[in-house]
Amino acid sequence: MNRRDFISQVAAWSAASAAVPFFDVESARSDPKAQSSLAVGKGVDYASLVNRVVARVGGMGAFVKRGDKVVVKPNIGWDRTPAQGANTNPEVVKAIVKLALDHGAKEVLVFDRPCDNPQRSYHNSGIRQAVASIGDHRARCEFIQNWKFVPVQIKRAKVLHEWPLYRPALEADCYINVPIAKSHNLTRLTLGLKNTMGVCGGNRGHIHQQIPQKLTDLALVIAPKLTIIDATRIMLRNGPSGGSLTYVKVLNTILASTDPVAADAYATTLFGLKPADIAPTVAAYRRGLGEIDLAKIKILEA
Amino acid sequence: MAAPSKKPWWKSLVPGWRAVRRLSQLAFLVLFAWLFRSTAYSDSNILHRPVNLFFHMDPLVGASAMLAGKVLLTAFWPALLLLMLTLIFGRFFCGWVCPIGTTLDYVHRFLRPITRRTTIWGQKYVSRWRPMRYIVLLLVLLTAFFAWPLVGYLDPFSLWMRHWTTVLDPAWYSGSTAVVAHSYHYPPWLARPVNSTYGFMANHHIIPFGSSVFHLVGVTLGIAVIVVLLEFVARRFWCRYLCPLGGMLGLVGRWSLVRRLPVKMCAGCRAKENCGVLCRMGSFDEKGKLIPESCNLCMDCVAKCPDDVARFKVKMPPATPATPVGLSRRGVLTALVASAAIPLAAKVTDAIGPNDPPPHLLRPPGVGGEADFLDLCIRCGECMKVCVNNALQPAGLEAGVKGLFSPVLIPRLNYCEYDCTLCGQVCPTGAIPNLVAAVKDKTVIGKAAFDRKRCLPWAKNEECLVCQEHCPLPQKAITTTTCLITQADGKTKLLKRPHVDRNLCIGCGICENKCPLDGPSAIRVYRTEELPPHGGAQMRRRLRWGHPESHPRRGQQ
Repeated sequence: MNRRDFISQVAAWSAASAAVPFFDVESARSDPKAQSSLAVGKGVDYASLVNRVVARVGGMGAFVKRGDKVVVKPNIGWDRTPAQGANTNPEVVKAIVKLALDHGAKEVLVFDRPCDNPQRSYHNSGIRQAVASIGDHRARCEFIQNWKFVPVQIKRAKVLHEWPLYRPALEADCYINVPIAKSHNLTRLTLGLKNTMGVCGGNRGHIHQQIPQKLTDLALVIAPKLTIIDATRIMLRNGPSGGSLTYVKVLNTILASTDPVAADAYATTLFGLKPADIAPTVAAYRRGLGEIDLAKIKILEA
Repeated sequence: MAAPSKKPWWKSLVPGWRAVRRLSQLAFLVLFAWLFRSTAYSDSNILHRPVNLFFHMDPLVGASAMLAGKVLLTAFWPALLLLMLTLIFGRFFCGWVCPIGTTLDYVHRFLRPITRRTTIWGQKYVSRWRPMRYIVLLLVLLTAFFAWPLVGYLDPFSLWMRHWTTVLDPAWYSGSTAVVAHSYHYPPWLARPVNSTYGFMANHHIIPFGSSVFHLVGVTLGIAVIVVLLEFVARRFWCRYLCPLGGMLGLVGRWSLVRRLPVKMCAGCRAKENCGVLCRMGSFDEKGKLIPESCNLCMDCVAKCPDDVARFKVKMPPATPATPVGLSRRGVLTALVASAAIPLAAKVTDAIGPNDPPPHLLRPPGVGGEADFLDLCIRCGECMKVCVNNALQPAGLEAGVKGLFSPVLIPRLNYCEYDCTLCGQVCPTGAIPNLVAAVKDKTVIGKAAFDRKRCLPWAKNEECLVCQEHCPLPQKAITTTTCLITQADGKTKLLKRPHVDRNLCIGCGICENKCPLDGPSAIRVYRTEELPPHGGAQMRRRLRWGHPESHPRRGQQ
């Protein structure tokens, strides 16, 4: 590269970044007509449980190709300990990251935009240490950096037409959503669809008005290849931040599905509720993002 | 041609005391910077480093806080050590340790072509201002006693710490992130090296973790700029004429054991610049006589003396120092009147203005009475530096004239993190009590209240509850009632509306911070007269008797 090329490239990219690139992303399920399947398993060794459950939905090799950029998106929303059940279990996150690394991922990013202080949330959730303990430089648990949010137009949106989203999440070859199943005072439960709010920039409080429709719109552009719901501990009330061990119930359960709606629908039953009770799940189903009817989902015991 | 030097040739190869002094200055500046950077959360609820060491070394801050609070603060024992060292070495602290002095020396070095011209001109006029530092010192101690401590505005560490915290550090962060943010949209071959450099610097704490913004940036910067610009009037102008800590150390140093000899400038000096011109502290009076309490042992005269006459020797000090302090009766009287008048003026302005603190004035967790707090607070800004959320801000005039630069919690800017106890750990005087997390979780800062005319579920029948979602209390201090709403189109829907449980609320302010409304929040934290259950008077009494909990690094779980 000579100097002229260098200057023109810098000029071109500066101009492009000044013009604010609009990311034109549109994704939906690859094959909406195929039957949704969902794997669910129980166990106390979370690493082997993750391996079993992921193997039942086709194995990590079906989602992560050699050289892929992978994003694992847990819930690191709160300055809470793993026992308090407000964040995704660090052992579960670690096992998923390891699986992706084993299948030749070029890099595995783990991040969330916390509601509480980011440093305290990353540390006290145990997720940062869990990812670091793998000791592989390809796996990184990174803090959100504000300049990486890019404005995204959601073309088929009904309510949320434009929102700043995290560029590394949009650019990932494989986006794996790893929510924890817990109660939520507004949507009753927070599961996979709600966990996507962690890649949203801006004033996220505004998403809470008409939240079912807005989460559905968001799911049009952030479509995980795989949703793994951590129900090793579930929070029964006073979510999403909780804070007392009395709200937490140990289920030692993990479920995985390529269908984000099916995963959320099944997880609802763990709380003794029906999928139709959760407005965001219903809204996403109506937009054709997945299956809500448990009878039509192929459930695989792992 | 100059006469051949009497020094043996090898002496020029041995690093002299001046080089050691320079090394010491650099080392202490680095220490100051390292402690500054350590004044931050790093994956532990407890700070393990003595981040407020410089304050605890400072006899002026210690004396002033004790006079103002009428308490004994045992945490200031290193200040006694410094006083003892000063009795041996004189005012070495100003020349070898003080980070402001070092900064001024570097400024001078950098701007020597300009400062040299101006300072020689200025020196003639300002040497008679020498007693001013004692007036400032008297003012600081007397106002402290009369309950408006000025120490925070005049103590060198408070000044510098506040400047670094609220001006330099935020500017450094914004500048470096602006570069990396701009490069983010560049092609990878350009973005990657910038990003990895930034990552390296952030991981090694060269760049602070997050952005921070502070009020009164212009005022704080202005004060620092003035201190630096005075260097153009005379070298070390601040240290010579204004610094009350320097004045205090100089007074003690009058009886120091290590003394500079000879006590007069030599008549037949053959150096290009004699001691009087050379001395950065202006330690020689008009007749060429040495004023020992001005000397900061910089060793310039020793290094530059062509005949090796200038030297430092251990010598018993005279019972009465040879040179008078130079403080006239008029000066003392001025200080006395001023120190009585300034608190009085503050009282008068307080009396004209609102007597009670305004309803939104929130103090850091555990702070009880406003008057007690302002007595002990030295406006150093350590709490603002350490606050994980950049929630503590320097007060302007909202807390009255007396509250200038004292920390206030402004939840709309950011909130008090539920399990964080760092501000109490770093406070050098215990103005903010050092609480264990279990106690702090119950410590009341204020009480939240809704503005139902703006709150979305109340005013617009829209769902929201962002406030309740964020409430860190396990039992949730925000409760909801479910209402059946008939909308404009005749349809009905169930809507949850939030309420504050005043018995539970501790006023951390996360609800006010996260409220999605533009402009002011629909839920605000108000000051409450309910004293913190473990703060206030009870805490103060423990502090008074040197209870272990008052020690900044003990009393934690």
